[in-house]
Amino acid sequence: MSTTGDAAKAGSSRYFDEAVDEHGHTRGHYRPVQEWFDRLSPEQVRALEEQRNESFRRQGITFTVYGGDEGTERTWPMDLFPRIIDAGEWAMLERGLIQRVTALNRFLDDIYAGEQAIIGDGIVPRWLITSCTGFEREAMNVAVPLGARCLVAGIDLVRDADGGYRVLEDNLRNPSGISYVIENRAAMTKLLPAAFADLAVRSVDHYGRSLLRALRSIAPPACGDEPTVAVLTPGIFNSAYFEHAFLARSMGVELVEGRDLVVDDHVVAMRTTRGLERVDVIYRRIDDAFLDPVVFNPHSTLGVPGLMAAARAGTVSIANSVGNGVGDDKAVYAYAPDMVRYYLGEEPIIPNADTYLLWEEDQRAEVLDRIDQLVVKPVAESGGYGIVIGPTATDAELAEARAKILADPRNWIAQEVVHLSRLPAWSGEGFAPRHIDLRPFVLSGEQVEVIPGGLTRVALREGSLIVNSSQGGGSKDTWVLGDSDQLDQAAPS
Amino acid sequence: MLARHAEDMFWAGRYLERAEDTARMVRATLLSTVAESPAQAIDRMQNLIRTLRLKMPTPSEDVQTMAQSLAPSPPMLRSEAGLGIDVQAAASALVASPTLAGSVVFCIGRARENFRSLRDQIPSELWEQVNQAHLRLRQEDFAATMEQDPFQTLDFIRVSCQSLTGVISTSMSQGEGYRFLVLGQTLERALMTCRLISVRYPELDGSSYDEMALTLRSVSALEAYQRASQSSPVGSDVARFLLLDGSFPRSVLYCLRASEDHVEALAANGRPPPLRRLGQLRSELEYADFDTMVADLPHHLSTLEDGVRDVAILVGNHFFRNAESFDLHSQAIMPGVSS
Repeated sequence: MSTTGDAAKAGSSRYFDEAVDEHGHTRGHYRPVQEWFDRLSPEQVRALEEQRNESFRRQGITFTVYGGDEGTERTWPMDLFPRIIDAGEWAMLERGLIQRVTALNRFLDDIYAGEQAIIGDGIVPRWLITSCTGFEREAMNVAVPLGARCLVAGIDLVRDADGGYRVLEDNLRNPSGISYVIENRAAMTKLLPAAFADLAVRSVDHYGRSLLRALRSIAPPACGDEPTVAVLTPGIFNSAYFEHAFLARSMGVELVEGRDLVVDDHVVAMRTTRGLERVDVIYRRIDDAFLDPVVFNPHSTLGVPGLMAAARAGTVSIANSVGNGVGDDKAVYAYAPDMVRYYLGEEPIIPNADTYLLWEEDQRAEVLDRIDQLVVKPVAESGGYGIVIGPTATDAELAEARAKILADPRNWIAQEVVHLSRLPAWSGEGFAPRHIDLRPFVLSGEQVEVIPGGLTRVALREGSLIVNSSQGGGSKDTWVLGDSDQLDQAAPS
Repeated sequence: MLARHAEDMFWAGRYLERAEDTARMVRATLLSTVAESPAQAIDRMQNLIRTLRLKMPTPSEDVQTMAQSLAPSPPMLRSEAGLGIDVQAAASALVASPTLAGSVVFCIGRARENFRSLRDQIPSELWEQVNQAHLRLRQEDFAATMEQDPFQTLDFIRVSCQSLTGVISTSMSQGEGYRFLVLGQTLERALMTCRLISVRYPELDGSSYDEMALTLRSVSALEAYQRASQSSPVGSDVARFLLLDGSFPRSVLYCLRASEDHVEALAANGRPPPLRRLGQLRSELEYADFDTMVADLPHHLSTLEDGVRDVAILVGNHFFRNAESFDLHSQAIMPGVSS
């Protein structure tokens, strides 16, 4: 089964250029910024880069690179050339993201707290769900108010050779990066205020308020009008600690660690200077496995004993919900377009990347035959681990991938290579095209809301498709334009 | 507020104050050694290290070996400021050694670590400021700068700490967190002023105007003292001023009163143990007969120090660990698992 067979097959050597059309002309919505950058000398760009680094260093906006003898802190790599999405294109993306996240919430609620109708109706096989590593039996029949199970989703989008957007991953568990979206914008407005002139770039600053509103909307009904929200972090040594503190600060709520919380008679409370104070909603940035040593990993010292029992008793709401990993399984991801059709009766607005399911005999045969042209991914990993990229893999790596697929076809998927679109980035000498992707952030509460833009990641090395910040990737500020007058009808396929 | 956050605030305040006061005391000590023989200078340095209650790498070591093992940069860089080599090295260690617990660099690093876990609780400006100071002190050339230009470096540290205190008092909401932070500062300052008096006591006993002025200046107190007493400094008067002046913000009495105000505001009801101890300590000092006290000043200073340390412990027990008994409860849910 190719879940999105209708879109053009990737594989041409051409890439979609975000800022330049097929005739080599700058696209309309990039023109003012392009002209602004054209006027800068290399020295001026370098001076701006220096200013940016100094500012990030002073604010401690860093990330930790693991490996070597100890984690080293590096300043956040933000490329100066912004990504720009015009109003019409964004409207399409926004509709598509809301549609997809609505369907995913319905799916997760159906599986964990509903009748599992999607299984009963034969759309998704039961064995597929129960064999997911991310499927948590402990979450069965734990109700979540409003069914807002992926309260924060970070959907990874890429553009294929024709400029069509595709969903690459849904990230329904603990997507990170939103703090960098906001810090990038703050840095850009300080560094290049003139480049924003007359563009009506939509603000991203309200994220904290939107997140708090969403979190309060899922508070247990019994706790009244003023629910207490807290952010639960693994602590200062976690690589995303900066973001956890950022979120707590921008919402004005406490940032707690497991050791600050205690469960007493199924009520969660935090230890304060005046004794215990009840907590109603927990935005946790700790993985399921470490959340509660009573039911999950008994050796976890990060979690809170009794937390799951409290959630089951309905005295506390946990976001994102426990067990969302089932939706992040890459074989389940392949069914997301079917979920949209099943729950909403609509055609998906943003298609998946073309995906092959390897327990299906004919698809497996095709994949084994063309494995050197495809990307093979383990279903339960994230962050790019375990991926084999056919066109660049050695014969030995391909043989190993083949053997793994044959040994356990359920644990692998294959996808056509997606040729990420390109956008100029500073190379040290000048601006040159580099590959990018996009992670918009989607909030679910009373309604589903998309923060304009998202985190654009960029592979700073020439020709590289790896946008991960630990592997030489950087980021770009992402501008969604508010005004649809001067559009160049680019992309959407 | 979270008990853990309150504790981090308290310690951030203590480390910040300790860094500033250490820099002030090192500066005063170095200035005094300029005109002394090497042996006298070493004695003076050793006295300072003792007063600061710093742990030597091993108990038997003297200043020279400590200087050698802790000095952060090679000896050829030293003595451009015209100081004896060992004195200079010891001073550099007290300020710039990242491994000596209690050095200025160490204290600023600890203050930053505490603030780092409080980033959701403090104004971004405060974080940026402490981060900037930390990054400067951790630069590779910092130790060398301290060797080459100790006085300017020590002034830089004092100004950095003062601007942090400025950010705290002008941009931080003055709720619980603020009070714990400032309480940490005022208690530590009370301790450090006691220590300053004991380390400078031999000079105060004598009659050199320069030495007395130096002592007062090291806590920015010379002008305040002169306005208050209008006579040239006399040893016991200087000690009286630093201990008992009611309006100078670095005097021990002032610091104790300020601490008392903060603890009183923090105690939701009644008079918890830290407040009672603090009240006793303050009134013992305030109503003591100064002439009796000055007759055995070192003894009284050390009693006072012990009292302040008691208060800090009681603050910890009362505010940071008052929910601790619930640990038993979480243990009971899952015996054998430590959380």
